[in-house]
Amino acid sequence: MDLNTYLLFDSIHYVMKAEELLKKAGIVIDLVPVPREISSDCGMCIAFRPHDLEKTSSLISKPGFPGKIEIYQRRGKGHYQRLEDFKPGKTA
Amino acid sequence: MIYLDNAATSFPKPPEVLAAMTAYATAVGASPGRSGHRLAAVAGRLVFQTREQAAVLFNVHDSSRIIFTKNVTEALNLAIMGLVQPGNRVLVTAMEHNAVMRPLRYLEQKGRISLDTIPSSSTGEPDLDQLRHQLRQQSFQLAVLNHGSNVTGGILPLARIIPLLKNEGITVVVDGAQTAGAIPVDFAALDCDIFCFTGHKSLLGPQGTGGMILKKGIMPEPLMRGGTGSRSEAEFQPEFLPDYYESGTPNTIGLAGLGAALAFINQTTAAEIHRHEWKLALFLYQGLSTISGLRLYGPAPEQDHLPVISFTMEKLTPSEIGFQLDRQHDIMVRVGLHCAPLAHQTIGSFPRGTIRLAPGFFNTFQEMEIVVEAISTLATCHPT
Repeated sequence: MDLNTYLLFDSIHYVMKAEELLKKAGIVIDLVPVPREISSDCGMCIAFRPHDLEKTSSLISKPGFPGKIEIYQRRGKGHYQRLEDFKPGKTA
Repeated sequence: MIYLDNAATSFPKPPEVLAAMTAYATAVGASPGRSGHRLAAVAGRLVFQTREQAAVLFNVHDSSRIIFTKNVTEALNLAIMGLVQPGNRVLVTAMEHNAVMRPLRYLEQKGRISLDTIPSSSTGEPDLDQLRHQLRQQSFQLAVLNHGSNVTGGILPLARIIPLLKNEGITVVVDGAQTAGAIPVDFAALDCDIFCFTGHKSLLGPQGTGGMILKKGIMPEPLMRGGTGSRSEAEFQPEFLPDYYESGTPNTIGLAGLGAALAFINQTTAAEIHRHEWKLALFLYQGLSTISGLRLYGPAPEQDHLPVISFTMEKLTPSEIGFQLDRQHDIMVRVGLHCAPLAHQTIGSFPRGTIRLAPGFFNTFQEMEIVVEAISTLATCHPT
């Protein structure tokens, strides 16, 4: 299944923290550049499979991920939709 | 060669430190958090892992609150310059290093702050009754405390002092230059607001590394602003951690080394390192105590002590002793004022300074015997 869902953080620190946490939980992920269409940022984000959305969401919602967290899904070439229902990142 | 200048910079480093730095330099090389390619990710992981290792060592719940700087001087400047407000009254110990005194004296000279010292004994130990009196007489906003002296090896009883200061609502910054890695430091239990450390002394990492730990809710103004690899579209500094304070490409190779050093300490434990170093200090102190014409400074290491012993000899200046130990006995020490004129004034060795013996974790008792013998020989050649 396609790694078409993207997890974005404020800081690379949280990208690395999430990468470690999600890998330990056995979730298939990849570190990829933030797609241009989502942000002009020069950083990295985490790509994962849509069926891991719930598990991913619950893991990174835990305290320890303060700050802005966003999830996007690729709907077609160059088209990314933000998953607004997703509200992780409760301030620790 | 016997290296006894570990209070300036520890040497040698654990082999893992050099291995980590070589691995980064030969196989990675990239900037962390600046690009989207695989090597940038590896560099990002290295920096992240170093932060996590530091969080384990200092018992910090959220490693994003550990900010890396190039050394403890930068961390202390960040803390001091970023916290003080015009009109503040600042309190320091009588054993401060110039990394604390110079920024504070600068602010005082500019008329922005007033500065007071906690009265201390001639061994550098603070008088807590006088401190209580001071706190009743004056209202302080900031205290900067030398956790362990680079001149005497004395350790400040933070557990007794910080509650007194916090009780008055004073923001507390701790200078852990000599203590980080040398004794167990539990940031959560200390209850200070900022703990500053350097990577190249007892943390056994390379020069050019250091940092600070921020208590939740403490956000001093940054010293610098610039590129962080995050929020690149914005021309304003992002205010999240650790990026808020870490502008510009970091010392990734240094942080790779520091990460390996921290892993070494976490595995060995700071308590074990302290146990060995304290015994070395005690051995030196007891050995030197038997030599006539020699004066020892600071509290005796029978009580909790860092591996730092300072002495003077009546007939020889500190620089002559340092030179002869180097050239005749192959022993490296540091002499003079150790960038801490206030501390030397407190213990009565200003302006001449002292000879400082600072063993490290990799020194042996056999080496300490040679050192005591060498100093004894110098004293005999120049009898009082």
